[in-house]
Amino acid sequence: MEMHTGDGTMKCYFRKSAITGLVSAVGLMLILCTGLSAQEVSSTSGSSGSGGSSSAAKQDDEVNLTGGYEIKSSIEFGVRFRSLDGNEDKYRSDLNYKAGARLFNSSFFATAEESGGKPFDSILITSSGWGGDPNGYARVNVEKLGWYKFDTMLRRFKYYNHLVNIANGEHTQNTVHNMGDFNLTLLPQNRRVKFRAGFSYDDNEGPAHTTFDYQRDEFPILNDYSTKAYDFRFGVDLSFGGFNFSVTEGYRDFKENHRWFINGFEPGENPSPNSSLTSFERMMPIDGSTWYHKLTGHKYWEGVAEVSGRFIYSDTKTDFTFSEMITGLSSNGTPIVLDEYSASGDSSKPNGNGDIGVTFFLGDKVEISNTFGVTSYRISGGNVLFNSILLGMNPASTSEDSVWRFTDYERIMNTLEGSVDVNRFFNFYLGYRYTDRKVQLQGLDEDLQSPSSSSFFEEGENTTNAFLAGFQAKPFGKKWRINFDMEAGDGDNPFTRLSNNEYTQFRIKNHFAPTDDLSISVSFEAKDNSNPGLSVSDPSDILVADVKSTSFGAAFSYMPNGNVTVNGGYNYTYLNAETDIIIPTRNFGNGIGMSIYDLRNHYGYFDVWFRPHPKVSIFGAYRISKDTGEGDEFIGPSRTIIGSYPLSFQSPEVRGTFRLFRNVDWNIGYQYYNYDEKFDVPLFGGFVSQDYRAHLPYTSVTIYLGRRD
Amino acid sequence: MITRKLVKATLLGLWAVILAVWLVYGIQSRAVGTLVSEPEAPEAAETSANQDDYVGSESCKACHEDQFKGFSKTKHSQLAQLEDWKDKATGCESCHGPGRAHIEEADPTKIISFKDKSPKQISENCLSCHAGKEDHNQFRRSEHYRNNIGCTDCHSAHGATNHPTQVGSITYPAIDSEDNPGTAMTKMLKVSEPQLCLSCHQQAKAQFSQPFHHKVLEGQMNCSDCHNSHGGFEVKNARLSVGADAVCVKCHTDKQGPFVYEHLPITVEGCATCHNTHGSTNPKMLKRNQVRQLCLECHTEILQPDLAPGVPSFHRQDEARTQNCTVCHVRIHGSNTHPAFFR
Repeated sequence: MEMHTGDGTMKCYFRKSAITGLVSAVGLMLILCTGLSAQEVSSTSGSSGSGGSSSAAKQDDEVNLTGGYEIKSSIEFGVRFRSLDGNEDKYRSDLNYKAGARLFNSSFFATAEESGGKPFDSILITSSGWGGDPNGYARVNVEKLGWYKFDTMLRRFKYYNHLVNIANGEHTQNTVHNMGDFNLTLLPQNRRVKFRAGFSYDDNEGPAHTTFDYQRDEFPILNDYSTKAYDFRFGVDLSFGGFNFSVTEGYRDFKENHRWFINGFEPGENPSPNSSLTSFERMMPIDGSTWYHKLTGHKYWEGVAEVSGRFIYSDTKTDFTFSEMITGLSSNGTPIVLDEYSASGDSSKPNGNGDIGVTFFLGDKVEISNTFGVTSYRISGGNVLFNSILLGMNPASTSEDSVWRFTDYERIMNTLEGSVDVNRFFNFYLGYRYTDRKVQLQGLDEDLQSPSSSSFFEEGENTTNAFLAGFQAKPFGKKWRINFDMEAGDGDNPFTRLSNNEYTQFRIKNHFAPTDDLSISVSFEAKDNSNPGLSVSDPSDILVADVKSTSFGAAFSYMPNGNVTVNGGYNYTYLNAETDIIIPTRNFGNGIGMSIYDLRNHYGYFDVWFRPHPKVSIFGAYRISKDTGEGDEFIGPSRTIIGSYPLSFQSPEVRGTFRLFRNVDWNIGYQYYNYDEKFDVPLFGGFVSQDYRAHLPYTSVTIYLGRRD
Repeated sequence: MITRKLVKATLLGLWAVILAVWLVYGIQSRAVGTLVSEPEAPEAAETSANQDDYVGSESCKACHEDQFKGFSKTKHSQLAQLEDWKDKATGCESCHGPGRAHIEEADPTKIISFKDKSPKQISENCLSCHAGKEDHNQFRRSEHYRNNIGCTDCHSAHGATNHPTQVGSITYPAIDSEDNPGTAMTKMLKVSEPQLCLSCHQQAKAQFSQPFHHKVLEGQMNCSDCHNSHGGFEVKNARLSVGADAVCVKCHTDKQGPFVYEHLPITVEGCATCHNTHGSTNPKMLKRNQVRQLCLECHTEILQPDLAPGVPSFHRQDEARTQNCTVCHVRIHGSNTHPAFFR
């Protein structure tokens, strides 16, 4: 399926975004690197002259200063090639690496030798994935001690999704998602007052496909996808009398401005009705905003108690309009001259969170803590929907309806816990968490043309009691650390069958580092969640949702010397979900069946780096994620859905680096991706294979500044 | 129901017993100081200190040159330059206490050493300055603290560790090194994210390596974008965004709502009801590989919960056309115009 490209302005926007990203990430760094390297001078650190230092240490203390800054930088750029065999849509949905020039990784770090008179003490710029990669980022951190701290994160994701196993392959997306966060703190080290300001943007645009149910038929429609959000915030941190307070005020503006349409005749996918579309156009702009206010406080009484609290209030409002115009044929073949919908409405969500945590210290080995929190919000929304439909030569029939929906949610959660440091090799904790949640749903539907209305009211309450426990032991001091923690909970009347009801979970983690060169980690985790419900049609039938999972992991890292590093690991995840469900069928009506989902995922990785010669480095890695699922058992007995999905995903990689000059490396590498499903996905009566094999060789150059021999 | 009450009563009873033990233990602990004998000298040195006992960081350099070199490049070492910190920050001695007796007597017990302290004891030292920061306020009640993971398990107080430069994967950024500096430098981390977090959270590494995942290993996202490793009021150390919303809506703007017709699992349970938030073998990072399984496991005709109705009989699961729920229910995260999320 070919993606439509939307209008020309959108294409321009993508180009503009890419150029902006590239300039911000690469340009600044290259300018800084090349400009500063020309005037690079050598000097000696001012603090290195004290007596007692060895001559070797003195040599090591010598740093290259440029304009009073010590600079360490690296930038890698090159070309990636691509050869693909198999399903390109699946490849692009998973990886989306394309051939072409790109900036791989880069970093620029400058620190001032002496702070006085300089605009900043340190600046760090890191980036990766710009130029042609699907995912790029650039971080900038600038700081001047005592004056300001500025952090920036820019991200760009080229999101592609075209998979046949979601909505018959008709829900696709080919968007570019740009995001940026900018945070400035003034007087960051001031002990009494600090000021904060921040700005974030989020912009996601591009062509997409979706579907629409009309006249009991399904139609593929095109979608110009567009969402934007801007977030402004400022705050102040205050300390006085041993109390610390932070106040944050924020405002977020967000918009959706999608357009849905078809470019010509659409016969529909359901062969039974005679419906078809000759034109379809829908607009539904949503304009939203959130004001949020946050206050946090903290006080510590040394050796006695500590209290921290938080209060957040936010109020989100949206306004929307809706228009839809359709022409075509109805399900019984009658011409639809014009089926027109229009609506307008709004919704709001005031939300309040209040939390307080307190810890009492009983001596220096026993602590008792309690954390109490209340969350409450009310979602209220309504619309007035007008519909006018003109069928053939008949007079137009119209309807006008008004709806209102209300959701009231309240949660109280309290966690009481205590911990004991028996000695520095062993400590344990115990705790109890109580949660009470209440949901109320209300609705009112009104027919405005023939005044009549209906309403509903539903209410649910859920209480959960959970017991927490854990310990940490260090049998051989710092060389071996064992962490164990568990939680057992018991709830009533869960809101969804996938949520925690009667559950237990525990995990144990081992970290063993017998020498400075070797570390070994082993972990095990198990969860069991059972959620019984009673059948409506026959309350004697207990319908159980049971989910069990275990995970085992082991990893090691070995660095015998400065020329060799070896890492490896294995993780096995077992998940079995068996849920009694009611399954409707054509010939036998509704009946009790079962939904089974099995995951047997093996993940393994092994990578090795070694330097056979001072000017040559070799890196090799192999990673595999293999889900054996439930083997070949895809089709279960009648009324059983088996969601087993055997697949394997492998990605070996090799890379060689050759030092051409002191500050220049040449790299050559190769990546291979192999995706293999054990069964093909059924689609419209046929089968589509989503397997692919991708070969991605590349070559690049890395330039260093401030590199040491 | 009786079993449930019995479990509750048992848990509460157990808790009461443990609480009593704690209280007795705490009183005893306070009475005798510490139950396990440990060197007392550093604390004694600290409490009896006066200004003459402080010798300055340069004096430490002679014997502790490596630590001095790393430390001298940190903000910790430069704090004393600021007027605001002159009475509090004294270089190495800010944390290790006055060093005169230690130097003059060459006695390792005459200085505060953290080698024999527990993570919590070490953290206490850090929190004496860092606790007032909003992100750190709840650290003593966080998952990490509860499990005895302290500040220096992740941070290096003497400055970021200089790892040797190694070439690595072209898609996964390597850990920060001397020639390839990164955020570990500015945050004084032992290793940069995400490698730091994944060294303990191995299962997460496997999840981030699935075909569908958030781009954490690739460096576009950090663990700390969604989690506050210093703890907070949310479970799993999750962050909030836009005031009090789930952190997910910061980037997934179209899921923020509020909608006229809300889909209740999202409203009350959150995104993780249907999605594996780290990664999944299933498209859209779903918890099941067939969307209908997720739907039918809630929307089946059971008395509890009342809030998820069963599906009508014409949703025949023996026909391909009605097996893909979201073909019709496209706005499954919430809709403003259709109660069944059609548009």
